Amino acid sequence: MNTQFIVGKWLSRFSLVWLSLSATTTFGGVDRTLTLPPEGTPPSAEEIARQVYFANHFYAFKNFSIERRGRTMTVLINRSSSGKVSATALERHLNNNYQLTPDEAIQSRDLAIFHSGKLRGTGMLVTEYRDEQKNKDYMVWLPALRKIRRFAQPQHDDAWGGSVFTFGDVTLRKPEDETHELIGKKKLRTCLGTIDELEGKHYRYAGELPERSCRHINKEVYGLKSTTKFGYWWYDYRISYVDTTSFADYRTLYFKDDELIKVIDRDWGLVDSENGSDPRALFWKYWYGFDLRTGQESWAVIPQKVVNYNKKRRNSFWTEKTLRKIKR
Amino acid sequence: MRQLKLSQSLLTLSLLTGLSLGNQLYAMQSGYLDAIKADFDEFNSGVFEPPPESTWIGSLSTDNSNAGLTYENLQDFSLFLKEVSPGSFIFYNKLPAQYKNQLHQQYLKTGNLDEIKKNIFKYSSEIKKQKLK
Repeated sequence: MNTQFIVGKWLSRFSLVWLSLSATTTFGGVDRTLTLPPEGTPPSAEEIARQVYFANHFYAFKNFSIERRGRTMTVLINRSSSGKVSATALERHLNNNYQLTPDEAIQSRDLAIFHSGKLRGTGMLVTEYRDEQKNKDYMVWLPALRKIRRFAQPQHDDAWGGSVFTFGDVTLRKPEDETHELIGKKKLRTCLGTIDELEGKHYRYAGELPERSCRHINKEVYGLKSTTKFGYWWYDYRISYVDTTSFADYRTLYFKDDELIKVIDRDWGLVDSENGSDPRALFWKYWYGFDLRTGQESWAVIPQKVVNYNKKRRNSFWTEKTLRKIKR
Repeated sequence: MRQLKLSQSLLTLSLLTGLSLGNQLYAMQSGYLDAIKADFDEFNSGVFEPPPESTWIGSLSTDNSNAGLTYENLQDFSLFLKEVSPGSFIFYNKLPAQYKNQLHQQYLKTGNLDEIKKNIFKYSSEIKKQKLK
């Protein structure tokens, strides 16, 4: 097998490698210094979009990890319209703990390691720089070659790990890519989605899969309508249900020609329930997606025991050295 | 000829199976979609009209085991705890109301059942110590 073929093969799997990369992108005005909107003043639609971006990028934490605890890991389950189910297990470590000084070039680093499927043993390190004009670095450890290769940033509408989630949904979409409008405030009325035939069942890597989350019913949410600025895009606008206190986006509905085409539900948990802590210090418990055009479902489940944050870990962990240590 | 017929039948069978699986999926998710559409309509109408017998609106009144509880009130939360962790529930049930409320609020925020269970035992032992004094 020649080297070119191997590289090509890995390139074709590139989108799957991206599975674990949630958000290290920044956009004008959103970084870990973003404060909560002042109490008593209703936030604008743009402000809500920025806060949602903050929560989804874990800026409330110095570092945030979904690790491996024994055999327990985060798992992404995809179910095709024909009922075929596939799964990928992974771990991920995000570091936002870089100096907020002008001489510090790095904004954040994100390390992902895959433990199952065709990507087993693959690692990826993404570096984001403070200079927004500068491209991000994507370095992938290719176990078959035992070498690190650099890649270009994927497209916003590329599928994320073969799931119904796109790279835009998970990480790349910035508040400035859309115009935002507040359509109202009400209570969330329904449970969040799951692949219902797998609810509560024992599953490889994740242990017992969760049941549908109904904890958020009757929590007050903003309806945020975000219209894309991209031309000929796969959706026209999306409506997000955003918690009025924590800015967790529990649900997003995607519309094309005023028809609902896709749903994404996210179950969130607060890491620290003590009084006075940042209400945006949240983590994902699961993501569920359903594409009405194809019938495909995706469910990313993050077991609580693999979540770790603000860990005492040197910045040297987020380097190529760690990639080279990955065992297949 | 016989082989051709056999392959035709197989093709028809696989097509029919595929169709029925597809329909099954949409049927399975239709309850979920109906519920989220009703939820979305509330933004325009200002009124939430839940689909009848939906298992996606957190109702306690259905026999379907998949139906989620809203956990909005303490009674729902207690029932939920009794179902998922009967052992912890024995200790939880003996706790004073203020501790129960605290645990309920904590669950609404974090959704971390393991932490709730730990706190149940922590509060139980605290109370025990207080009684001994």
